[in-house]
Amino acid sequence: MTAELVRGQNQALAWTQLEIGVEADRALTLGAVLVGAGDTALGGAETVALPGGPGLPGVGVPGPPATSHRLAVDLDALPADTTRLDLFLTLPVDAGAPARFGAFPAPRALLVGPDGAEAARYEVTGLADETAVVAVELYRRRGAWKIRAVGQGYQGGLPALLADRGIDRESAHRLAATARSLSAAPAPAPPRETPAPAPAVQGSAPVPPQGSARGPAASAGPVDYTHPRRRPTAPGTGHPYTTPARPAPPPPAGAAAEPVAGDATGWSMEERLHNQVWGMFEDLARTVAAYRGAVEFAEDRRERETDAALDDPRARGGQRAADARATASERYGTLVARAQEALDRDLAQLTAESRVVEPALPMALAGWDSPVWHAYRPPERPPLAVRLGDLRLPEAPELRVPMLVRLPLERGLWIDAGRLQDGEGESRPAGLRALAAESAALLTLRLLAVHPPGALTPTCSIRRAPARPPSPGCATPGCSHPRRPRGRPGSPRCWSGSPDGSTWCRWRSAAAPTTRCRPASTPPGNSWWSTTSRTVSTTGPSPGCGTSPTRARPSASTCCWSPTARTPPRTARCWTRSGADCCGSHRCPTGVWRTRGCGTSGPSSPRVSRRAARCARR
Amino acid sequence: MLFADKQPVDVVFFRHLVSDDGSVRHTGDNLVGGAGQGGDDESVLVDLQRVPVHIDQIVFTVNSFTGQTFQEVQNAFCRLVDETNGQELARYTLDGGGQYTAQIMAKVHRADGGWRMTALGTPANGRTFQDLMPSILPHL
Repeated sequence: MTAELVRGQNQALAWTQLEIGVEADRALTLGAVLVGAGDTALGGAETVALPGGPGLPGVGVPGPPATSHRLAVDLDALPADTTRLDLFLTLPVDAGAPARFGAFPAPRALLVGPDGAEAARYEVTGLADETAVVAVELYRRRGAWKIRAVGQGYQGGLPALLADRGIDRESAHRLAATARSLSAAPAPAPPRETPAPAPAVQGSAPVPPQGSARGPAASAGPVDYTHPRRRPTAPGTGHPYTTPARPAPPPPAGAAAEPVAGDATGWSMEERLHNQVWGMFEDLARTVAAYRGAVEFAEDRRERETDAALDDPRARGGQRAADARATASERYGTLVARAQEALDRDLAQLTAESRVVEPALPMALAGWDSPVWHAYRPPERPPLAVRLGDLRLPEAPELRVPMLVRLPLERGLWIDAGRLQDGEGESRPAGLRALAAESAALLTLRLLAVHPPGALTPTCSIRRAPARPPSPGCATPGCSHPRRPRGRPGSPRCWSGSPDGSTWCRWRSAAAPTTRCRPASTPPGNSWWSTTSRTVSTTGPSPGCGTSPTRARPSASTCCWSPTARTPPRTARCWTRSGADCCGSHRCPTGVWRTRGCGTSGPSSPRVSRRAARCARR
Repeated sequence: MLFADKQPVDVVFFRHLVSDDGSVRHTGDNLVGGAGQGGDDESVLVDLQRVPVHIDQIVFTVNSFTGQTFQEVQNAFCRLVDETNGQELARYTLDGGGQYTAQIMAKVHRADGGWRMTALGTPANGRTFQDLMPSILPHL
C-alpha cells in the first residue's frame, strides 16, 4: 500500500537499497546532496549529485531533465558520516517553459522499494515562485534510515539551495551552470540510474567521489545490484534486494516508540491525522483522569488515616498519633509521586507525538501559526474536518491538542459570550463578548479559506435583544436591572419592584467581597448577619435580591469550624460565627445544624458530617 | 471491579462500560449469547499500562443478572486472554456449575512493579456486583 506523505511527515524505511522516483508534468532535473553533521554538506561540489557529474558513493547519477526519474540509492554505501541525503528538484532553463514551480501542477516524489512497488508518495505542493525545491530527505535516526517529506523551496534556485547547505557560492553557481548547460542538450537517459559503486575503503572518513570509475560509465551494461561490501545473508539468496534492512536497534527498555504522524486508521492521510488527533485527545483525557483519581484517593486516604489516628482522645497528643500522621502523609507522598511519574511519562509521549503531528496537519486542521498557511492555495476539495481551537488541561498547560470537528457539522456551534440578560450580564468577564465575536470571525475565515472558492457562502444574521423598560437605578436606557454595585464598600444601591413590594438594597461589604442583599429597612451594622438578610448568588438567575426565595438561604449564623480547628479547612466549611470551635466546646446553637456547610462547594466531608451528627445529638 | 487498598474505587459493568480513567472497557451486554463454539459474547478489556497508580487490584466476576443459575445455562465459560498474544491464561466452565449465579473469576494485582494474575474461580451467589462484595473481600 502506498503511504501518502504530507509535508513534514516521516516514515521508517524497510530497506537500505531503494529508489527515489519523481513524476512531473514538465521536465525537471533531479539531484542529491550528501549532508553531514550540522546540516551542512559533507564537502564541496563533490558531494552533490547532478546530471552529468560524478556519482556519489551509494547514489546513482541522475539523468538529464525529464518528466520521470528513478534514482537508485544504497544507504549502506553512503559515507559513514552522512546524516542525511537531500533529494532536490530544479527547473531546467527552457525558453518555452515557465521558470517557476507554481506554474504547473505539483511534482510527485516517490519512494520505490526493491521490488519495484511504490511504498510512499509525496506531492510537493505549496510551491509558487521557487525554482528549486528539496523534495524529500533520507535521514539517519537512531541507526535506522527514514524518509521525510520536506518540500522546502528556494526562490534563488539551485545556488541558494546549495549555499543553504554550506557549499560556497562559487561552487554552487558552477554546479548550477553545469546543470543548466546539460539541460540545454539532454543526453539519452540511461534506462535506470544506478548507484555508483562505493569506494572500497573502510573507515569513516568522507570519501570525495573523484575518479572516472564512478562516472556514468559504471552504469553501462546490465544493472548490477550487488553491493561490494555486502555478503548475501544466506547462500542462494544472492539478490541483495531480498535482504531485509538492518533492523533498527531496539529502543531502550521502558522507552516508548517514536511517534509518527498519521499513525491511525483512516482512508486518507487527512482522516488518519484527524483520528490520530482525537486519539491524542482521548489519551490526554484518560491519563489526566487517572492522575486525578490517584491524587484524590491519596488525599482521602490520608484524611481517613489521620482521622483514625486522632479518633481516640487519649492518644491524640501522643507519639503514636504523631507517628500515624507521619506515616499517613508519607503514604500520601509516595502515591502522589507515583501518579505524577505516570502522568509525566504519558505527557512526554503525547508531547513528542504532538511535535510530530502538528507540522503534518493540513490547512483545515493546522494552527494559525503553522507554516502551511504561508503557501496558501485555495483547496480543490472541501476538508474532512476543521480545527476550532486547542484543548488543554491545567495539569499540562503547555500541551495543546487541536480541537477538530468533522464537517459538515452535525449540530450547530455555539460560541458563548456570557449571559445577554442585563443584571445577569455582570457575570460576564470583561471582553468576553469581543473575544466571542473574534472567535466567530476567525472561524468563518478559516472555513472560507479551507473550502474551494464558492463552495461555502457565509450568512450573517444579527438578532437584537428586545428592549426592556428601564428600572430604577439604571441611568442608561435598555438597562432594566441595577448593575453590580460599584462604589465604596458599604454604600448601598437600592431599588424597589420585587414581588413582595419591599425595597431591597445591595451591599458590598469590605470583609466579604460578595454582594449581599437585605431589606432597606434593616439598618447596616452587625445585624447584617441576621437571619432576615438574604445572600443571593451573583451568578444565579435571580434578577435582584429577595425576589428569588428558592435561592436565598440563611447566612452564616451557624456553627462553623474555625480555621484553628484540627482540620485545615480545605473547602471553606462555615460552621462558626466568631471563630470559636463551637462543636469542640459543645456549644451547639440549636436548630441550625445541617449536614453540609453553608454555601460551600465541594463534597461534604464524612468527618464534618460525623461531627455535625455528634453535635446534633447533644 | 477496581480496588485501591481493598476499597472499591470503580466498577465496569453493562451500565458503566468504561472506567472513569478509560483503562478498563466493557464491550457491552449481550443478553442472548450464542457467539458460537469458542466465541466470546462479552469482553472486558483492560489496558494495564493505563490503570491509575492507586488501583492495585482488579477483580473479574461474572453474574447472572436474571438470577438463573449456571446449572440452567449451556455451554457457558469465561476466560482470561492476554490481548498482546491471544494466549488464554485461564478458562472456567460455568455450565453445570451447581446452584450458583455468580463466579469470582480471577484477580489481577500489582506485584514487584508489574502485574500478576491469580485465578480464583470461586462460585458465589448474587445478581449484581454489590451482592458479591462479601465474597470478594476475602480474596483481596
